[in-house]
Amino acid sequence: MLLSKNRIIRRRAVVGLLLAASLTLLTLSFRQGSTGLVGEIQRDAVSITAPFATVAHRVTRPAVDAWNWASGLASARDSSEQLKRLRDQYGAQQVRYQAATEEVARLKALLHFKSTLGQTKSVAGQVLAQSPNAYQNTVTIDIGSSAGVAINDPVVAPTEDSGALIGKVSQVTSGQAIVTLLLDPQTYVSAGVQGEPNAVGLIKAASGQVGILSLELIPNAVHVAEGDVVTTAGFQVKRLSSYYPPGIPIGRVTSVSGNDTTGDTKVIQVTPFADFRYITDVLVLEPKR
Amino acid sequence: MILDGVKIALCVFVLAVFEVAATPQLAPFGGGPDLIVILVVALALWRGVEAAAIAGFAGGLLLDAITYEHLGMASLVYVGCAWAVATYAHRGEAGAGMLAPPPPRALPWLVAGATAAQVGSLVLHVLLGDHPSAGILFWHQIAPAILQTTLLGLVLLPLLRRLFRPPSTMSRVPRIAAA
Repeated sequence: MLLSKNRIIRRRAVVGLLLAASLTLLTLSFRQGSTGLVGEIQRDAVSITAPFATVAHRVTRPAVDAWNWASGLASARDSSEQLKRLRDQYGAQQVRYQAATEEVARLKALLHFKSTLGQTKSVAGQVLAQSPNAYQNTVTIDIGSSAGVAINDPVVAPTEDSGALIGKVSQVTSGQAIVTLLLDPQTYVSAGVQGEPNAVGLIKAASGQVGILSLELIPNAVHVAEGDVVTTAGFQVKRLSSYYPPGIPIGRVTSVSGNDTTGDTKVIQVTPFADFRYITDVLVLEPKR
Repeated sequence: MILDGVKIALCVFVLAVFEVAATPQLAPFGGGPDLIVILVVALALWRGVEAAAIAGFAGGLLLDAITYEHLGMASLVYVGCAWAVATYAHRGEAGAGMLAPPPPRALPWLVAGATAAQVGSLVLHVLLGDHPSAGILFWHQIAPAILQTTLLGLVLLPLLRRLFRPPSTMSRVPRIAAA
């Protein structure tokens, strides 16, 4: 054999130690949650990597814009040859123009949304990082407790003409915050159908479908139709109140089917207004604390 | 040795940051490319299991920390992946007195490593109590992640090969002590 016995033992020891360390960290992580040593490590890691993530985000932004633009063109049905020529001819310039126009539109939408908030304060931020797999539904944003952001603050992203709820702050450091999206199976929001005071239930990620939400606990007797708009319901029972102010748009009802397994309530699918794949700008609301 | 360590640390940091900051938005079908597994496979092939396992551990830890996933989850997957690739890719290499064969081809092992990492991650999540839908995970995470990792590997592996050049065939000839 090429490898001496000692070297083989050393290799096995290194791998064994690293596996044991991983298992120990995993156990600690489950026992401590986001507090203690594990939480400290994670907050420090987010703080240290945030400036680099900002740079990486900015460096790759033109590529992302170009990709979005090209995929937008690809989905255009008519005169594809002409579009290809145009893309070749005006590609780079068009991408920059398109990106700037889209950014202005996004910020305008957020401003419009902000004007509808009344007394609720808000602070704007940008997305730094996004979870790289389907098991997690979080984004990291570039504002934290120093900007007034706190755990459980609702987060809104721009839509075509206004803003829509995308989730809530689940962790916060001085300069960054982690936002858990509505697509996370553990996230529930009290929501209702606009114009139907009795249609109030809980909205959560629909199981078995990607990017779709499910509005539950709406009684069968209540009328809900396709196309209805779903917003946060908000509630206040004595000193207990919802994290989410009422009236924040969430999505549109795309299907209302018969009864769920209990037989008392409807099964309502909601397509969110926000596109969770491409979130770049956000508004964190600061409800009265 | 020290230079190698510095290069590995830099690669781990840069790839982990890019994995969370840049690639998710370039993955239209979900399941972004796994940049750390590309590094782990490259090191397992060209630098041996220790370097690959340490890089995998550090990369996984960093990824879990940045994304607030349970610490140790990705590390466990990447260390296992490093061990598997290093062990099986170098199985049946030359014995004493024989010319060592050239290093194994990287791309097939990258596909194997990426698949192992995706399957390992799924198994861990199921063991820890997640109930993901198999169909969704396959089409929106596992399959696109393997495909995108492989495609990106076509670009990254040659770069990593320059950084971690495998030992040449002649230098791998075992020294035979004179009788």
